[in-house]
Amino acid sequence: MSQTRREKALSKFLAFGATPLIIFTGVLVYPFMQGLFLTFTDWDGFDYTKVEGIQNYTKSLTDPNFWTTMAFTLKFVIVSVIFVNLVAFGLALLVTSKLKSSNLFRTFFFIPNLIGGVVLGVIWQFIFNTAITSVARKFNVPFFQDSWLNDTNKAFWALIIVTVWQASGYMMIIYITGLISIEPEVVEAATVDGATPLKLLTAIKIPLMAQAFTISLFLTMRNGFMAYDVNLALTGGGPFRTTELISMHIFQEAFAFGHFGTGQAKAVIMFIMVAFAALVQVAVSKRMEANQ
Amino acid sequence: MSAVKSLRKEKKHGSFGRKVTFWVGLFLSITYVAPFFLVLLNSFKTKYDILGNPLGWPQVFTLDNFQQALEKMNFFRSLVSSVIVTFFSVSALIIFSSMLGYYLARTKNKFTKTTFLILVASMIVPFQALMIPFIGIWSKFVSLNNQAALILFLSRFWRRSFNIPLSRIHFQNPNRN
Repeated sequence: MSQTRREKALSKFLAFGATPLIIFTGVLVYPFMQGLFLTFTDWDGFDYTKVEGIQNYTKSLTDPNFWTTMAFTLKFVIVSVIFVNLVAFGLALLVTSKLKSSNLFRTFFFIPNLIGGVVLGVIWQFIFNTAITSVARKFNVPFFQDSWLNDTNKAFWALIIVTVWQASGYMMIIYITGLISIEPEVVEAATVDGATPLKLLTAIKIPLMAQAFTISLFLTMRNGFMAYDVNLALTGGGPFRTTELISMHIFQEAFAFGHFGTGQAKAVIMFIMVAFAALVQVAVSKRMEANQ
Repeated sequence: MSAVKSLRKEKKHGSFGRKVTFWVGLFLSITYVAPFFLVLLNSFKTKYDILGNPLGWPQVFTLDNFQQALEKMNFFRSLVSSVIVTFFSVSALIIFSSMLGYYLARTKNKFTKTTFLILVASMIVPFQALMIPFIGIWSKFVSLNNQAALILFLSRFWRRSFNIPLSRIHFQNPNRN
């Protein structure tokens, strides 16, 4: 009896589970493990001759450029997570307030999402380099006269603006899902009890849609750490590699300078960092969800 | 009495608030779409016109930019490559993620639970951690051009591999048909 049951389970596994899992292993698990192993060797992108230990890691961690990039990335992640979510939640509130044109607005807010990061970067590069500067010269506004992309601090904010503009539409959809899943009876009861709109928002709506916050905080954080295409197309890391995010730094390390070993080691460090941040964030959010 | 009053107040407030939300929404919509409009507008201008007058209407209407783009960047070839890569990665993804999602939803044991956790965890593996080994592994077998296509394919595949958890949830949904 148990034999046939086991056979049944096995055939089910072979029919449905085996193929995808083999592919998953080949595409993700194997390269990841391979990459992990290669960081401990003297690998040059093609072959390795001997196992070297943690040299690649010590080299990465003593690289001052790596730490600058790391600090810049962390700043970028924190600021972009805050602004993307604030804007996205605001937009979600706006399009769920019973306006006739809310469907149209929703479409407009989502449009930047339909186009890849490289194209968006090129568009905004034109805006920052040409459009804004020409208007500023005409009206003599010194703050905008030189392109923002030529100044490290302003280029940072340019990156944030483009990221918020691109990502807020997608996160808005998640927040909309959260907002409309709230039972209307609860809102009505609170209104009858005399809750002001602000109180309604902070005491009823936000706690009831805490899960949406968990998801979109996680997604924005992950996207922030992994941002590459907008960075590449907008600033290209310039001026003088000061606006390089971690993804770009790793890419440069491996392919521009040919340091495959340290590049891979930095990627592993990045993975550990993202994993740690994600675990902390999800744990904190779950606790907040449970506290309701 | 006070309830009626507050209701009336709310109605008044509501119509005013609605107007404000409408205008805010309109303003934001315009800012969200403006960059695209700007690019579209400038694509009809001459090079000189773009630099001298990036915000205004084109002084001379021209389609030269489009012609040049088509000639220079092999637009149709790139388009065909994109379509092929998209077609194969999306089909593979739909087939395999629903297969695995079905399996993970309907079979409950330690193995499926662990597999599911690994799949969720794989969402946070940065592509950079895979990219370099990819090239190391595949450069031995495949020519550079095919390799690029393959990497694109794999990267899309990887990026969307969290569809598997999604389809698992779908198959677990008791309201399924």
